[in-house]
Amino acid sequence: MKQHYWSLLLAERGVFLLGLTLSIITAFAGIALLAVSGWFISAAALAGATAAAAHAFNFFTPGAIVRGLSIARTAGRYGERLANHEATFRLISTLRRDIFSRLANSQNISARMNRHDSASQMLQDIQNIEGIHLHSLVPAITALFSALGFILVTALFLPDLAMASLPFILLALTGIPWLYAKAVLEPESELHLSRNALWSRASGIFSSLRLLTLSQQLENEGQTLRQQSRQSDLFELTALKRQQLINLLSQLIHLALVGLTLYMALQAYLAGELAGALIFMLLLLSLGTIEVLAAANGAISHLLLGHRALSRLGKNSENQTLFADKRTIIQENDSLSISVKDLSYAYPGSQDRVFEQRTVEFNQLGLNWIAGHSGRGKTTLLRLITGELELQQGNLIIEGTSSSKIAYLPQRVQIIRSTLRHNLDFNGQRTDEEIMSALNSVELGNWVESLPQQLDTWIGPGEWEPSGGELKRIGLARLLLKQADILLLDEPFAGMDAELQSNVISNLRDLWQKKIVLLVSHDLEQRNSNDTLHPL
Amino acid sequence: MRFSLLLGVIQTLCTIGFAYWVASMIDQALTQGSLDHSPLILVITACLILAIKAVASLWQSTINLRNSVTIRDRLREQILNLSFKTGIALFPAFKPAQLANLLTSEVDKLKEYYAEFKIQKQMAVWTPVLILIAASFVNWLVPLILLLTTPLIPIFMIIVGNKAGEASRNNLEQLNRLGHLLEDRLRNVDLLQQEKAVEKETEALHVQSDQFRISTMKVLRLAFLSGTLLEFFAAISVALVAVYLGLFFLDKYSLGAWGADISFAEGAFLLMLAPEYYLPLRKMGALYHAKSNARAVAEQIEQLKQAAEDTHVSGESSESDSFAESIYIEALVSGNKQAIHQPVSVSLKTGESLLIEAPSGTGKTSLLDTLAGLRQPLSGKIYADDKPVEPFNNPSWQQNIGYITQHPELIYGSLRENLCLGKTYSDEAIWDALKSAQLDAVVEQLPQGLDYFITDSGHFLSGGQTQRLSIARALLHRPKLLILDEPISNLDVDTAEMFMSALHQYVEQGGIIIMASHRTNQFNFTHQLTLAKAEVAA
Repeated sequence: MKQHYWSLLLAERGVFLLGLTLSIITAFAGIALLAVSGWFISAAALAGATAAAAHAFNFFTPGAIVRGLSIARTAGRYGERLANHEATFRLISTLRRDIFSRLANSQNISARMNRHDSASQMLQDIQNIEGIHLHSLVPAITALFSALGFILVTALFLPDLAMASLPFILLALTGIPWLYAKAVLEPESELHLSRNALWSRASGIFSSLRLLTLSQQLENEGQTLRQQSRQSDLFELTALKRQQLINLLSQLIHLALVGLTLYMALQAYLAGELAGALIFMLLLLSLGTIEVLAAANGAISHLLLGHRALSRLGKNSENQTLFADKRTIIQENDSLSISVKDLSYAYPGSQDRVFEQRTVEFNQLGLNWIAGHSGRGKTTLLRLITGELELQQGNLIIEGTSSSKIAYLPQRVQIIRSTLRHNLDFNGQRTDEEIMSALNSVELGNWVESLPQQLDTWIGPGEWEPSGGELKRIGLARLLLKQADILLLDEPFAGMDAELQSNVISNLRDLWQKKIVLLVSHDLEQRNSNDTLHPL
Repeated sequence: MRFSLLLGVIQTLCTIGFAYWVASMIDQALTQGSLDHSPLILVITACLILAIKAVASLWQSTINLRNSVTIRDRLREQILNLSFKTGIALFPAFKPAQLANLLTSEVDKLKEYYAEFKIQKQMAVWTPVLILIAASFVNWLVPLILLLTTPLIPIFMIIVGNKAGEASRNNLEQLNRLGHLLEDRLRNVDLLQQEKAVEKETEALHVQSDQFRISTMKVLRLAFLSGTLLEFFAAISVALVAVYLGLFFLDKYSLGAWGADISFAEGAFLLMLAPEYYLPLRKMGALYHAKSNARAVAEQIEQLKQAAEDTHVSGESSESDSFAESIYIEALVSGNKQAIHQPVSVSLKTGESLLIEAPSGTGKTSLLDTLAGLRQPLSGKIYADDKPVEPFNNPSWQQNIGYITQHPELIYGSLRENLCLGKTYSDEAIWDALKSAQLDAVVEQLPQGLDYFITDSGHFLSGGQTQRLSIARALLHRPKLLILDEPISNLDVDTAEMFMSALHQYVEQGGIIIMASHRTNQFNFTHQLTLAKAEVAA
């Protein structure tokens, strides 16, 4: 992951270097603008004192330089910010693609995304990686070059000052940012954790508001929440205190650099080693440089955050070990059937078998209702048939179709934040007519017509949010569009009232006459005499 | 705030003092060729002025940051109070996750607004004024130059700012969508795997992120322009002042000075002040996003306030509002401002049960909420033991109510806390309830038993198990009236059967049940009614 980041940066080196160059030029132009102005007026004042020297002094040159520098600074600042953001966003778009493709194939990803703490950690990591360039590399490199510039210029006029200021600059450039990272990272990550805990508690309270109100526990819970909130404020205050202390330290170092410059320049002038006009210039140069140095204080802590995030994501994106598909799928056979022979299954890590030595045969076309007590593994059986779970013992023989023609409707239908069309047809292969007819079959036709942009309406969190029953039916419509031969439905009718259920089922029954449909439902009221019932 | 402003003024005075001190020091060296005092003392004095400035600046930001923590804490308090006051009327306008976000990340986004923006806004007035005054002591043209460039800034900032605001509003929806795409796709990665759409989505993500870049850059180009304008004026004014002073010293003209001439000290002083004039404005320009964050949060709080105002709190609540034997509901209508179902009348005694059948959209949940005293009825009356009662927000009524919803409610705490809900029960009673709900075996296997901590994912318990937990809770508390909203629609046959037999047990021991469901075959209700849609009045 780390190597990958640097190679991406290398690939975007054009914009990256452009942004960096502009940053450095801008910083230099700003510092030089002050310094040259200082020299100009000092020289002019001195020259003005002696009339003879005044003519020797070509005032147009420095005037032009000052104007040139001020334009360079302004244009540079604008270009720098645009180029650096452009580079960051380019990095981000490639990074997002690569991070997603890695994570999408990694172990337990959906389980991790379902927990608030691990999901927020992962999203925070991604944000930290995305910030490496803008918050760490650019300010650090710009500060480095500005410091180099300061040392070079002082070395040119006053070598002693260059030598003497070196330790201060080194301290400001490395020591302070390192200290900052050391002191602030820990309370800040604690703050992050405690805010996460606060989120969990708050969301817990709001999702059980009825319960808490009725049991008069709302105030109690609110009190705990307040305490927790104050606790996390304490973490913030600690981080803040340390941050301020280090800022003070850094300002003292900067101040020492300014004092040193002023003192040595005055001494050198009084000793006749330095031209008078240069005292003011060197002073303004040091004042300009410390501004750029201060911007780099947080660079190392951002780099460390990004670095940690990269290694964590690298570890998190270890590839899923794919298991071999042990189902027997015989495509050649004309008649559809699923036979389960001596099937036993226990979830990985658990001793208890969900079922043992089970044998069932599904060879009737149409609806096959699966009923049975909880813990008998109805959902597990469906997930074994889809190939989502690894076969452990026994045989599973599917005849008359291919594995791509087996479709599954889970209990919890998911939607992504995108258009309704996208949610129904992920690979963009169906026409509007096909999609509308599928929606009509699940009695969603009128609903779609009522949406602001029909099929192109965005659904999902923050967009148009379907109700529970609508969600189930979106899942069913999605299934219809897949044109599968074997359909596995886990509780497809929850959240629909009786009338709706019977309408949807009668529509689907017509469409599914020539398919095998396994239907797990607690509610057998909608079963009719043509359907098959399999007690499990 | 005042003290913090004072510290800001001190910083500006230090800036002016430092410029004056250093300028006269260099002037002395240049014109006399020597210094009145030892250079070390002079330099240390200059450093001391800078040190005072540094301390004042840190002090100021510490105060503001602390204030920002306090204010955010107060905002959280306000949000919490408003939402507790509103109660379940918050839904469906707000969602639990949204409120949790508002309390944490949204409020935290206001950090910069309170810590920096507010004080910078004041400093953007005070610092320039002080510098103008200081500069006008030595020269009149330089402050004039500074003053004349000042009005240009707000004018250009407003023009550019409006353009940028327009661009960001136009792109807001798209930016919001594209910005959250990666998170959304990661959360639904199992769906994409199942649909074999991971690769396609990966590519789409790249394309969409690129679109995100293009539309963000469109906004940024304008947003940065306003910062650039500030830089431009700051640079121009510094350059103008420098060229003016240089030419003055070269005797090209003698305009602007109060006296006949400008000394070098005065020139250096003015030159050092010129960039400081624009500094607070530049700082404020960099914080432009802080204000829009603040506005977004303020809007949400305003919405909460509105919701809280719409919830009328009845003042009187008498202690005698509990019941022992019977309740009578007379022509009760509930709903959000608008009646959605026909009036309901029914009479129930201990040991009786009512089934409410309600087609979707007839407001059964709001009816049940009203009976539980969580919502105010639109009309109608409720009698307990033949005396009229006011259940809404009435603790003595609510303590008799048990409520089980379709999605079992869990609090963030241990299993024991989830069962006891603030009351004390013996372990024996708890285990009895768990046994009746057939949950004892599961709890025995949990790592910490009754003290097992249920987090937001609740991953040790399945959907059926959490519903068993809520029946165990009801059996433990034995409320006089148990209200159930589609309790078994997500349960398998086995759990549903257990659930219903536990309900039998509860009714036999003298409880009253009101249940909304469309799966009823396992229970013989003594009363039954169908909720009918109200005629919508124009």
